[in-house]
Amino acid sequence: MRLPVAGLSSRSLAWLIDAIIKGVVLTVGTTVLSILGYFGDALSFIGIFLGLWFYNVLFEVFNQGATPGKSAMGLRVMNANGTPVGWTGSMIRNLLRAVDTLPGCYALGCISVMLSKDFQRLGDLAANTIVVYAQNDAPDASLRNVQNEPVRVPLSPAEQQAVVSFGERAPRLNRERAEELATLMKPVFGEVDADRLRGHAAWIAGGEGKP
Amino acid sequence: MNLESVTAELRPRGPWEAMDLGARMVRRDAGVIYRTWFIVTLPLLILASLGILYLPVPGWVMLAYWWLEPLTDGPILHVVSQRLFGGATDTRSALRSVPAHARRNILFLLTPLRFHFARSLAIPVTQLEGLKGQKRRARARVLNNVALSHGIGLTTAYQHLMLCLYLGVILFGYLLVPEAYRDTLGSTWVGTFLGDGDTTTAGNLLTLYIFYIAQTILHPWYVGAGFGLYINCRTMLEAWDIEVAFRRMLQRRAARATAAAAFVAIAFAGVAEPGRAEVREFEPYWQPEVVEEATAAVFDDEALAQYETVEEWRPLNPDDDEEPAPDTSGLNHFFETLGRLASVIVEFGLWIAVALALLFAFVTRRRWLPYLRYEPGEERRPRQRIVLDSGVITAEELPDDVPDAVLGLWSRGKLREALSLLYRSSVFSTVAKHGVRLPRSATEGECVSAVKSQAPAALAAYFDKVVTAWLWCAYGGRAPAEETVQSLCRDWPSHYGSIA
Repeated sequence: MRLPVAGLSSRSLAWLIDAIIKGVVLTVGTTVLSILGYFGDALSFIGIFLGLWFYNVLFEVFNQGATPGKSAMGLRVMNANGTPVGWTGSMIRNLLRAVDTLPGCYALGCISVMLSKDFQRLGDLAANTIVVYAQNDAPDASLRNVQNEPVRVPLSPAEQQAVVSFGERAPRLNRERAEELATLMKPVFGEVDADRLRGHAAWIAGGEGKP
Repeated sequence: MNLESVTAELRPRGPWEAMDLGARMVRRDAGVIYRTWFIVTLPLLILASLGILYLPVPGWVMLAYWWLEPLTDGPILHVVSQRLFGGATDTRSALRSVPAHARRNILFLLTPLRFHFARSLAIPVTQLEGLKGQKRRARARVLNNVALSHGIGLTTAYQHLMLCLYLGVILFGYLLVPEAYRDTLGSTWVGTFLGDGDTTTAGNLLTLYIFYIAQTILHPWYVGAGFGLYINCRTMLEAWDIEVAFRRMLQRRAARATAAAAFVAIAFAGVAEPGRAEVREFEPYWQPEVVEEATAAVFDDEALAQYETVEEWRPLNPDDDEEPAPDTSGLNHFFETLGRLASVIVEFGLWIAVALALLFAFVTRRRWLPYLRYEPGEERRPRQRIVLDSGVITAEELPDDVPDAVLGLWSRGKLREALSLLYRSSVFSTVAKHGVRLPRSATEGECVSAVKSQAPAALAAYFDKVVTAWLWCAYGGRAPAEETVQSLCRDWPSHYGSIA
């Protein structure tokens, strides 16, 4: 399994988004509650306490490791071994935010993410969690309507993969480049141009190419 | 450019992942990059310090220092790109590249590009490829189609992290001020940076140096991340990874049949060098409208507006909540009274909840108190529960008279059950009566070797016989002779006595 760990840029932007959400919700909430006088203030304080300490924990535990900011950036929190993060891990990593924030403004956390091997901040190191990019497993449909061209030469799985990715990505290449790459393949497929090579790709992707 | 000597795994990545790859490249060559960085920037910093000390316009000096930041991008890009394409990198060659990079497009670098929202994505085009004018614009358009919003995101992150580190250093200084001097020294320290009207020379210098610290930490990262994004764009747009895979495919065939070698050479000769030759107007091959839609979506995204929003945001300041003036008008009075009533109820409710929690804790003390008590492992014997590889043995499931029970099962034809009972009873009694310690989830073999090393030889020999009989029956499907079982049962009491 591939776990692409996420680094500083995406994580800090995810944090920003979460901060904005928390800020808006808490501002609106406290303003509305202030109608109720001291009782409203008390509720506000409880809300602020819960919001600041449990916003991340609750989202991470119940939303597959992703707060709204993290899902906007395509991130999720996981244990370092790839299992979903649980209450303990999430609590530890989020309580230690207090340390990562030192001396204010997340300077320690930022430096820790830059230096640690898997881009972990101190809370992640303590809880043994990582932040990874959520994988997009949707199959590429771009070969579905392409005329199949049978492949007559044996290809290893890696070579089949290369031809299929050519077929999938050819529409996004410029024409000359696509033809240039197809020309490269002449010794293998004989007379072949970009369209024909795409046809080969469609034939392989259709499941006919298993050696 | 030789794609096959590339020292990173080329494949199309997500844009953020590509930035992380760039950051890792910077980290890989951090030594060379930072040596070059200090050699290039320290003279500038000294010049700027002198300017602040001796010129009447310290603000302009700081602005100039900030403005010249892109001069350091060249050498960083040089190191990272040389290394990516398999070249050697050392500080000397990086330093030698500085003048050349500085001469390249210097005006463009310092004017429009200085304020480019996705600067680190755009810099490689001018600094590495050295493109100008029409060609540069064409290349930039291609890159922006794919990654402009992510480039802007990277710059946003960079600017905010700069602010974080800048404020972080200031706050760190404030934390070091002893409590007693917070009002005097501490507020002077903070006031120095807030610039209350008259900024002192010391304040300006400190501002410059703290900015320099933040820049030193983050700037190489920013340039590297942008380079990663740039490389990823070109990998996607020009299918570098596919070219590498195709060439490998050809090599494999060439190696297999020498006759094919001639073919490959012809094919190679016919292929234009990728890279510079690729600078052409972007012509979408199959679906131009898809690309146009995506581009439109990027600009409809109001990524720029997001930047503004972020700048405006301030932490929640409780002081802003206005104390509601005592207002006796009907509705407010109603809410006021309602709030007071509710707060009394809730306060009582909370105390009752606390009392209930304490009561609950007291009632269930038998359950949780043992967890708080210190219990050394030795005291726990005789153990009532043993975990083996094949299952768990508890005292309750074992009969008082083991030989009798075993023979009973045997005579009823339940050979396997009989031997299983004999084995489990022996293990249990060995642990309970002779104090042998087994590893958790021990297998039969591990039991035997544990008993051999910890118990008298006679017992070990007997135990070995029991286990052998059990193993033959359980895994070999071969029941022992009846005499063997009878003799094992006869000897059982002499080794273990009775269970109870």
